[in-house]
Amino acid sequence: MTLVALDGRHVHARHHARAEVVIVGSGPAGATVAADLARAGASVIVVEEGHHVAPEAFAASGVRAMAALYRDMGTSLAFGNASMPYLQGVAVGGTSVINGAISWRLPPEILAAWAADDPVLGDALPYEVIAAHEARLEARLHVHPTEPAIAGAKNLLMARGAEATGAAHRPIRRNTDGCVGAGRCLQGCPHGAKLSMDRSLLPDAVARGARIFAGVRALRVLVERGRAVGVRGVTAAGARVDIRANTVVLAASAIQTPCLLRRSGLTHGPVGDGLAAHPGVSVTGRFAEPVRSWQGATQGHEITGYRGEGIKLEVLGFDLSILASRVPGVGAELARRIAELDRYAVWGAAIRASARGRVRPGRSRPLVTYSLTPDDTRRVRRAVRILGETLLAAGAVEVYPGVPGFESVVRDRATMARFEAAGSLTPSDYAMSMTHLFGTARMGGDAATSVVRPDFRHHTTAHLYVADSSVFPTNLGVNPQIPIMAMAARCAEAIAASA
Amino acid sequence: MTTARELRTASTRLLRQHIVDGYPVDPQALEGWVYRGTSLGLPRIVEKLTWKNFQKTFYREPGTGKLIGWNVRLEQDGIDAPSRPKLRRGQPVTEWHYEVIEPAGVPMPKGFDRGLVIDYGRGRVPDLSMRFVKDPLVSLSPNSADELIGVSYVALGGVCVETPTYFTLVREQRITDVPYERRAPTIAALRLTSVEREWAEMLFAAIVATTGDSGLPPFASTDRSGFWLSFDGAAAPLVRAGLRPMLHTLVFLPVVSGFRRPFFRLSPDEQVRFLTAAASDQRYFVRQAMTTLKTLACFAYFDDPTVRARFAPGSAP
Repeated sequence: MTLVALDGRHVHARHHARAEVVIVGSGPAGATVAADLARAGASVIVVEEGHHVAPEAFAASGVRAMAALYRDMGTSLAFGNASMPYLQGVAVGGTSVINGAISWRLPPEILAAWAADDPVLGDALPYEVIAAHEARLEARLHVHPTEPAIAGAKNLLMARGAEATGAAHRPIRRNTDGCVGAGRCLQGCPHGAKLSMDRSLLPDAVARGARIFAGVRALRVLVERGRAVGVRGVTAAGARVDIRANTVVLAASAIQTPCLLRRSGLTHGPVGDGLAAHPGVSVTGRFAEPVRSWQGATQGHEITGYRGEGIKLEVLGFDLSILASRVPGVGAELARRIAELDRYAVWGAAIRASARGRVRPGRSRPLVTYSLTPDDTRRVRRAVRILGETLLAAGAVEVYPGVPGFESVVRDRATMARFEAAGSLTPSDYAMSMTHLFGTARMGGDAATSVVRPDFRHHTTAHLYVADSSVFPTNLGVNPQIPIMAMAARCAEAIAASA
Repeated sequence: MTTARELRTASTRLLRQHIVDGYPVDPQALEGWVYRGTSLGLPRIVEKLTWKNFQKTFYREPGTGKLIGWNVRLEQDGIDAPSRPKLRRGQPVTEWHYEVIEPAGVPMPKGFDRGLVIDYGRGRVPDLSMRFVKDPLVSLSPNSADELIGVSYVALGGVCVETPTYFTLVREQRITDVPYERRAPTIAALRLTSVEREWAEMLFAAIVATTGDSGLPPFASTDRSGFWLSFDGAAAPLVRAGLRPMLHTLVFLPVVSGFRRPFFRLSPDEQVRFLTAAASDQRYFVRQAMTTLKTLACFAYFDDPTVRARFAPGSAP
């Protein structure tokens, strides 16, 4: 079966197409809506800016994989009091192609908080319905705990560290089938064992007649007399593509979706405001024994015991190049450390930050601003302390907090504990990156404070839906792939019901 | 198995037979390489008036994923002389831009579908005179893309007309220059000059500083062309623009920070002392410049397959 119906790299002449539903974005949200609506009998076209890359073509080299599969090679920047890159995939399958396959359900307390803040959401998003979608999707994606046999030392060491510190922990539940622990989730699984959207729901959708237009960048939503009637895009070869449809679904991410709305003149409500995220910080540790951090499940273990504080710890299985850049030193010292790179491990913490940022379309790239609050910075500082202590408890002989003004090498837990009081509270002193983006076209009952209704319909433009994490009122504190898909499934239900 | 050298005196009929009987070409084996081309089958007077040797390139464009390329004009120094590109305003003269595609669905003479097709009608820089010209391309030996043979034909309105312009291609070197960035002013402005790139590589080498011990190749011996192609083609414009001031900062900061000379005049020991201090500098921009350069240095170093092989399963460590 050919996954891609139209490859924009080869389309040089103007192209027209028609479908009942056109979906912008082929990541977890777009793929779920496509699969569910195709199964319901709708004719569907999915528009994806990236290209389809087969597993055997995924590059082993970190820089080449990032150039091929990450938006702007992973160098898209959010500006603020700690400017940081935000990472997004650009490929058929979206970010699911380059994520760590981590699968969590939407925490009930988050859903309850949404309903408490806006009671109509409680009626629109019943917990049982969301949970049922999650169960179905988890079964399709073969979500299961990481097996010890393929975990690799770095994951088993985190379990050891958590046991020693008394923090709750567990093997990460991942959407994989036949994982051999190649450690290359973040570069695209070369064995096709990660059940990313291009290996699961998109083929399901195509088998039921959906068409995927890859290499086509959506420029704007076509609107006539207050009603969305299609999408205009441009192929990678430079030709214009017009797709007419009864229903338009935006699932292009919390960065691209608000830009598309604004570029289409759909500026109603706080579109592009309220960007929420999980900033991430990491600490490197050196062990006496080999860890070979680039082998084993990329992200196979997590510490959940600090979730109540808005901190979740995960193993990070980076490519060699990124791992090397995270060990300290330059010159002969760095060369010596690279020679024993197998001794190093990097663990990260995702922070449930309270900060809210903003997204606006720029001339060639979105303009993203995001500044940590003082509370967030304190949480980041605490996370660095916990990461360092856990690494030492796991047997690391040295850890490197990498924060100016504090010891560059820490060898004991007492010194690391001191970091929480003595560590910097200047956000830019921490090297962070941002993943899991939410809230830029939030859902709500009040048209003045939200962009889409509780049934995912745009407040003012008929036949236009937003299905991705833009609609989430807040961040989650957990990895959002499955919640995004469950919400998108709820969106598909709403579309099917309105047809 | 026939070599490209053996075909220099072959008849047109034999050359055509090689096109029809040739071996498939793996597009990935072409990516990032420059091939030296030799024209065959043309009268000598035509070759005198045009060229005997040229270069063809194969480049995977990061933004689109297309395998594209262009011809490079060479000084005609002799069929076996080293390649010396013709220069215009200090830059190699490029022409006949093309895309390399699979033969399925492409109109072509019977039997010309064994390998890939060079389609000049899909070039990044259109050339109207070549719009209908295509070259089937096959390998001269199985499971290798080191020596290739091609021929031009014209496809117009469903009619294909063969020409006697055969050529062989022999793998020569990695691509070091992508012309589109020179042609597009906004992108060209972001690209480092050759001097700045030398500075960047000097900083990279000082940061990584492997010497060949422990089985790790010295930085200078590694192939960085793939890294630069990826970075120039895919990194965010703002980041590419930001690299220039970062480089200038790290190169000239030593002048005012006690060393009284720019980075490239420092001894290796002084370079390391300066970089170590820069990594923990009070100023955010200096620290950020150091972090960025270190990350890029590691990207460049670990892009080389010989470096990665050192860390493969079964190798030490």
